[in-house]
Amino acid sequence: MRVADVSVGELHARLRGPGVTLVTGRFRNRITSAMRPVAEGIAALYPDFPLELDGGFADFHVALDRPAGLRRWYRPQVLFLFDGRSVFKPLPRHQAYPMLEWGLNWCVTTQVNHFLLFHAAVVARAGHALVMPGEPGAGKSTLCAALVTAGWRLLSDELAMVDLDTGELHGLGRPVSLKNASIDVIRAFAPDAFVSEPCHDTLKGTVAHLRPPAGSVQDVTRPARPAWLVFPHFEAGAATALIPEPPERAFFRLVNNSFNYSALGTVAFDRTVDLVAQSGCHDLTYSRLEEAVAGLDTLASRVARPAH
Amino acid sequence: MPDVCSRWLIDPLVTYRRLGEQVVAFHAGSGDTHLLSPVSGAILDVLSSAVDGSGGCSVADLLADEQLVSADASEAGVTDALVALAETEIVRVASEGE
Repeated sequence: MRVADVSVGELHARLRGPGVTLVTGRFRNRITSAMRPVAEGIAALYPDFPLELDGGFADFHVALDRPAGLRRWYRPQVLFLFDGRSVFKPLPRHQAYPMLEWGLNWCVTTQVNHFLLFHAAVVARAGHALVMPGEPGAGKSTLCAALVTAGWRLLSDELAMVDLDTGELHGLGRPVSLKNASIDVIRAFAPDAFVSEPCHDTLKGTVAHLRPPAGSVQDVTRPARPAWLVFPHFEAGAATALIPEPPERAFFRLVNNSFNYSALGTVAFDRTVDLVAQSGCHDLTYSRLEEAVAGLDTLASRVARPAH
Repeated sequence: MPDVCSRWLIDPLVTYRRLGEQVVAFHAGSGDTHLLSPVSGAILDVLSSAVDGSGGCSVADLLADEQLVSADASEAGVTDALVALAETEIVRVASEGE
């Protein structure tokens, strides 16, 4: 069953009762929430994802719930619960849906050590992965959204998950988070793409999410081989520049964007070296999205044949 | 500082790999990752290829090796590189010189 196979009303009823299991790539997320915007958000942004209404195994058990006491009514808030425990400060209730997305990211980055994790967007073409590490504000999600709407396959806008045995990259396929000016930038770049209604006044400013293309969701469990490692940097007014990055420098920049390199030790070192060694490493400065996408398309066209 | 007759070994907790012209090393004990010079990388290559049970290599052994000869490494350069590698616990002295 897919999310689109149930109505928003039925999804809401399930979420407020026993919950649903939303399958995002390799992870099974058991979600409960009595808040209708959570159901509406999942229905709008995850229509092509597998959904299970029965119980069963889940990697993460999460809930979005109202706090006890006055905050249920006065300036109402929402809590994100993991295994029944609140793990974030409460947020204003209108931020319930973004909080779900942030919470699901938190689940992976804090609970998963069977993949090497980097803070990076990952897209793929013909089985070859483009990994784009970057700090918040570097423009990686915006670039990721643009590439996905231009035909690249989405693996993730936030997390590169490296297989510890094969070095391949695995995807989540979840909605792409857009912030502030990038929301209108993507709406203008890809008018046919679905972008959710913006949620204002969050800690990250105004946020919205891009629905992943159905093809990316269908192929989400298909890993991709590392092929390019690009460090994007948005700079207003700057000319587009895609400059080769020395591999040893790329290596340390990548390590600095890892969530669990230290915890995993030698295997993380080896897989990081492999990823860099197998990739063409570049630094990308851009201000014009069209030029950045064209530059990366050109880079990708140099690969002669599909990896799979 | 150990003298030139000291014999050196790679710490068994160290893994190193070549990346382009450079060498990166990881020490599983400290969790530290290091960027090494080409001479240091050549030293590690020679030490890692030394026969097990040989008790490591001296500076003289290293200087006689083809890799370091082709790297145009001087005795002072090799000694300095060994000391730097020892400070980060990538190599250690197997036995002091007499």
